[in-house]
Amino acid sequence: MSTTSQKHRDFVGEPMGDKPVTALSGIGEVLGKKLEDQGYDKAYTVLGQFLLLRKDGELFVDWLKDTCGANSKQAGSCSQCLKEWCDSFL
Amino acid sequence: MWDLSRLSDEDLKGRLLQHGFQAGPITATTRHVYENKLRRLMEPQSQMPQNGSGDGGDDAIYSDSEEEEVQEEPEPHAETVTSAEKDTSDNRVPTFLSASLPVPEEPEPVTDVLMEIFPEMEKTPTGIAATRRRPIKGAAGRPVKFQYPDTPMSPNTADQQEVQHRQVPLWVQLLIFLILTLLLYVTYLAIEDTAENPVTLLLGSLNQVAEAVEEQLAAPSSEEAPVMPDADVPPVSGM
Repeated sequence: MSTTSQKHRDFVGEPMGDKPVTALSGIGEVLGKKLEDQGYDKAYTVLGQFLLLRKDGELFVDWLKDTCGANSKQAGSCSQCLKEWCDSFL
Repeated sequence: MWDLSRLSDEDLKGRLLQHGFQAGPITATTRHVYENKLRRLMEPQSQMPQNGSGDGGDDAIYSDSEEEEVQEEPEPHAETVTSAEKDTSDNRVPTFLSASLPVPEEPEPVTDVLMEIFPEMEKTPTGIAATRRRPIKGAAGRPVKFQYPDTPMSPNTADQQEVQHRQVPLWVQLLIFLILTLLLYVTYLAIEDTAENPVTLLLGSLNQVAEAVEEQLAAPSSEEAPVMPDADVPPVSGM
């Protein structure tokens, strides 16, 4: 993605700590609710899934679409922000 | 159709590896993703019908390939996608596979420049033929040898080496040269002793003249010393 949202920059700029899953770029109220229903209440649980998929953006996008019905743009945004967070803090 | 959900985790992982994809841990949450991935990897070989699964990702891939199909359709199959399906169903090749490939051989065999250049090259489905290239010396951890058996020698260096083998060493050449010079000098001396040559004659006459002059100089100086500077010296110095 050429341009990044404010949410993206906020998330990538610091350790995620205990931030909720809705802090992730591309995850809004609706998707956040669906994820929380499946147990992914914190951003780090989604990060854990991202890491389980070996930081493979393509697979993570697939998973996010399956899990919460995100569209390609939302899933891609979330994948990108997790990837950049890992590059900075992992 | 293959039922991937019956595979064990290890089998699933092994199959992904067979397709060149290194999977992470297969857990309850990742398994479905990896099954989809494997399904996508297996598509070119399998007999899956088009748009078989309802997944969004698969739909995207299929629609993408359909677009390419229309664009890359060669002249003989210029009608529609359905005609291509009929053709390929006879050959029992999946439509997806035959359409997505450029099909370089049949429609335009003459215009392929690579085929003209390398007529004996084996045809590959992708049109890309990989040939083994010569290894780079010392690259990729291979030890650097100083003599490479397969290094071709230029004809010049080979000739030079041949000549150097035949040649006598330099010091022997110098010795022979010195001996020859000595021999010539000795011969010259022997000739000089036996026969008077013009050079020695000239030298001898010069010596005689010099002696005569010395005698003339010595004689006046003893007899008439005061007159000598005025009268006798100019002719002597003129000589």
